[in-house]
Amino acid sequence: VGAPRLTGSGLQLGERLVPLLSGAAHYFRLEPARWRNALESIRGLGLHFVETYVPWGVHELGEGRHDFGEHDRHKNLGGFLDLAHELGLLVFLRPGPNVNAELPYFGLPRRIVMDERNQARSSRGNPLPLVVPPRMFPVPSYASRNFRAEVGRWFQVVGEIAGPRRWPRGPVALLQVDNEVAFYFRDSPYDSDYHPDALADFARFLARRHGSLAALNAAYGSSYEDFAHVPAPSCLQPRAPRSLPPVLDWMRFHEALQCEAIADMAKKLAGTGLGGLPMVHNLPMGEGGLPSSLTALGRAVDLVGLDYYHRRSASRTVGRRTLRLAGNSPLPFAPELGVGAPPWFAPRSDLDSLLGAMWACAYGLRGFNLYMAVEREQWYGAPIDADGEPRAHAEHWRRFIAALEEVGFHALTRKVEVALSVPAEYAQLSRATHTLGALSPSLLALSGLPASAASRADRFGFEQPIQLSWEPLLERCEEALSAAHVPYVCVDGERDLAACAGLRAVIAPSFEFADPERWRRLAQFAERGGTVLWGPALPHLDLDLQPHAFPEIGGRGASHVRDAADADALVQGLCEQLQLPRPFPVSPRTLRSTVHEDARGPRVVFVLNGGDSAEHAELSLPGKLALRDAMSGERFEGAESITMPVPAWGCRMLIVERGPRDQ
Amino acid sequence: VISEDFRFEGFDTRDYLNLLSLFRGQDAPSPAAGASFDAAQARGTLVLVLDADGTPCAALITGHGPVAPDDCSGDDLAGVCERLGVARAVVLHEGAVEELTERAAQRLSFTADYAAQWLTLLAVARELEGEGKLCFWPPRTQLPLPTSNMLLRALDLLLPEDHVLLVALWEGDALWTACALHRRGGEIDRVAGPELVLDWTGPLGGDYRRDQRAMRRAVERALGTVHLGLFAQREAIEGLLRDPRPGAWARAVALREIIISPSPPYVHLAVGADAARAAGQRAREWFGGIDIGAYLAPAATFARERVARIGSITNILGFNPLQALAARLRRRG
Repeated sequence: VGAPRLTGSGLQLGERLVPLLSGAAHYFRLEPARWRNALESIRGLGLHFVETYVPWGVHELGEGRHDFGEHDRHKNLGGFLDLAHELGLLVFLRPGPNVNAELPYFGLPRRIVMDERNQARSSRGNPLPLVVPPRMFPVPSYASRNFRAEVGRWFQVVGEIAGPRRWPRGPVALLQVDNEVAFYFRDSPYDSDYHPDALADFARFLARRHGSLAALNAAYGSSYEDFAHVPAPSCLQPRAPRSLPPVLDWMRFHEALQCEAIADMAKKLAGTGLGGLPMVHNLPMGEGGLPSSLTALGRAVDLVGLDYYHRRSASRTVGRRTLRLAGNSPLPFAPELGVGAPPWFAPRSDLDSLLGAMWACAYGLRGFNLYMAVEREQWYGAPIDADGEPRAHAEHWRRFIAALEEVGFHALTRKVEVALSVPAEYAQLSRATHTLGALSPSLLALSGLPASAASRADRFGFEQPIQLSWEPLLERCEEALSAAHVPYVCVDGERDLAACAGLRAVIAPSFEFADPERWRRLAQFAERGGTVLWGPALPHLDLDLQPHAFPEIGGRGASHVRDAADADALVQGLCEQLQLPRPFPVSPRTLRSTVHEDARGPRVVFVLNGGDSAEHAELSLPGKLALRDAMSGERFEGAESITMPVPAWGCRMLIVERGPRDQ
Repeated sequence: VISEDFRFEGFDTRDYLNLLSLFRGQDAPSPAAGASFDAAQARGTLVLVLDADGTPCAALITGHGPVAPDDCSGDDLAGVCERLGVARAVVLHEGAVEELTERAAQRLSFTADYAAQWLTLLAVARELEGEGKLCFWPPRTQLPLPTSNMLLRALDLLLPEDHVLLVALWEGDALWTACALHRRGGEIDRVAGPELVLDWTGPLGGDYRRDQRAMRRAVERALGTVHLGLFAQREAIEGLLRDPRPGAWARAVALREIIISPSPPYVHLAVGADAARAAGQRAREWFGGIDIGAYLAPAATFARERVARIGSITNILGFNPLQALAARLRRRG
């Protein structure tokens, strides 16, 4: 039997493919006498995995001393894992070091966060407090070698307990390293990290990126004699000549630092008895404003997912986030699909949680971990209470999960032929020009604004403020594609387009400067027969804003996008040119539909209403079909179209019971 | 104010959202006080960033998105808000947020409790306001910032050490929501919701006037002595939270629409003051507009002094938090 392996649809365990359907239960917060009940209820929901954090701060008694149930039976990790195994559940284990989980110090031991050697630093050398209850604390530095060494020792301790219980001898089959990497939410462009180890890393990063001091000095217009002499930028000097190259390097370094730290932690975890298990990482909401892209982080671990804690009124945001996940991840997975919330989050109803899950699946989420499946302190809204008994709304989850299993949703695909390219270089420019300090771009994105909303409006010598222009351009194209019922995804600019099967067209914003590597990938895509719509400008400067020859690629269209009508016309032209399929279009125009199929044809159709009033949907059919609502059991049949009510912010999951393939 | 091992537990979604709904008010536009234009339709907050020479360099409206900084210059802030259709504005000098975080980081104590840490942040924000690096429109009421000692003293009065503050509300014969706050080591260490409270109490009869006794005893057995208990039907408490009329609370207590039991001295005083306020207003109506309150001023002064001597929360904090809350709820509702 080989090691567990992630595929595009789940976890391959020997001959068995297991969908990533999981539920969170924190053993250390539950009465051990209730563990069995809770795990049985998780299984009763139809989930295959139980997920738990292993919080360092909970288990550590003092440096080098730990309690795994010897003193406090709540902390008997081994016992919990054995019970899960006995009950036939797999375990998705998350040993941190950052676990948040509404624990003091995000689950780290106090001695770790209070040790100055471990603390991230501001540009003035101050620690960076994180404003969370029950105590603000100084966030750790991802660069601190002392911190990383401590993490390595913690992982060894976890490995001693969990290692002997790795699959197939035990239930532990999937790992997550760290949590929501975002500099502990102090992720503003000039917030951190000025820790001495980070500054040394920055010098090495510059040496790697520029190759020589001469190249760096040419880019910066400087005369440094050593990479270590290049100061880490602490703000943008908008009027200084060549002000952008140094700050853009700082943004790139942020990404590199996070990815390298996660890769280092993953290596340390793999070096324990848990080696060989697939490793996951999760990005928090507001990922559009974070330093690291999904693709970049995907090089550090086996799978990167997104966390979801939305209210139903943000259902369109759920769709947009999932389209980005689906465009960049081999297996779109939500390591935290919020069911309920901590009391200090925006309040969420049970329906908010369920609709969030349905919208995410509609746009291509193939696996999730219900967080929390089992109630615990600092939480409300889990479908299973702290005694392990299902609550009334657990039935909705059971029905939804049963429907996903019935159609083999994890293995279905959504045919997508168009992608929107999300250029990292412009996202980095938006970050570098952010003006609200610790009120970071990711916080703005979290609140529903563009991550670039507080970027300076300067043009920096360009035709228009690129940092403010690229996101609206993409948004208009997204809206036009959605309104035209053309399935699409968003792909990171650094993603290898050859890995996106079935893709025929890419819309790629381009302005005066661009990443030559992204341009090369677009050109290769065009050479393979793909259509590239770029614009509004043909770039002529590279990432250091030095002259660079960018060849024109195929067609051009994005330059015309000034408003929604332009975007509509662009998309119409694309549809006609490529004869793009528009499966199961739905009216009125405000509604959306998505189709998921297997080799035999459509298996599931979602009908979505992102508006605040109920609508009567008319769903066009490709032929005679019978559809069943997975949640209500209602049946709809028609030859050309069917009509059905869809509540405000609602989502119907319609299972194709009888379609063309059956006739 | 909250302990490091603080526990919030025993709420399902409905219980918790019900509890929050009491404080949320109705969803309605919140027009800017003192606005010279019809602010009923105004939405969002303008966040405007000025660069080193005071020129707008970035601007956004919350809930909407970025706006051109050029659209935010020229007029006074009131005019800008009117033109952009926003209810309020925050103006920051570039670097103000960084300055705030740096100064706060230098002064914060990581061993202090959460409220004290917040007070440090707020004090720095006030400082920046004073230096003109941060300003608000409409201008904010400059309530004095209490010190952490003041907060502790206020908490001592509201909820003494190892005591419980219990609120339970019914809808018809079913418990609608409940919340028990316990204090230990000077800090709130537990917020228990209806699931736990019902676990402790056992089955209820459905009449809150009777059930409250059993509930209070059960909570005392499980958590600690109840210092203040408030029991009522949901409609009654919702109405009172939004009813500005003098005497509303006194009347509800007298008619047992709400039961306050036990009732610490400050509650007696508050209810008594409410009744006196109602009586004064009624008398003014009866006596053809003659303000009887003016004749009672010496007595009122005496009463106020008594209240001060026993340490009113208003005196401790420098403002009346309940009045501030009620005003806010009324404005929003």
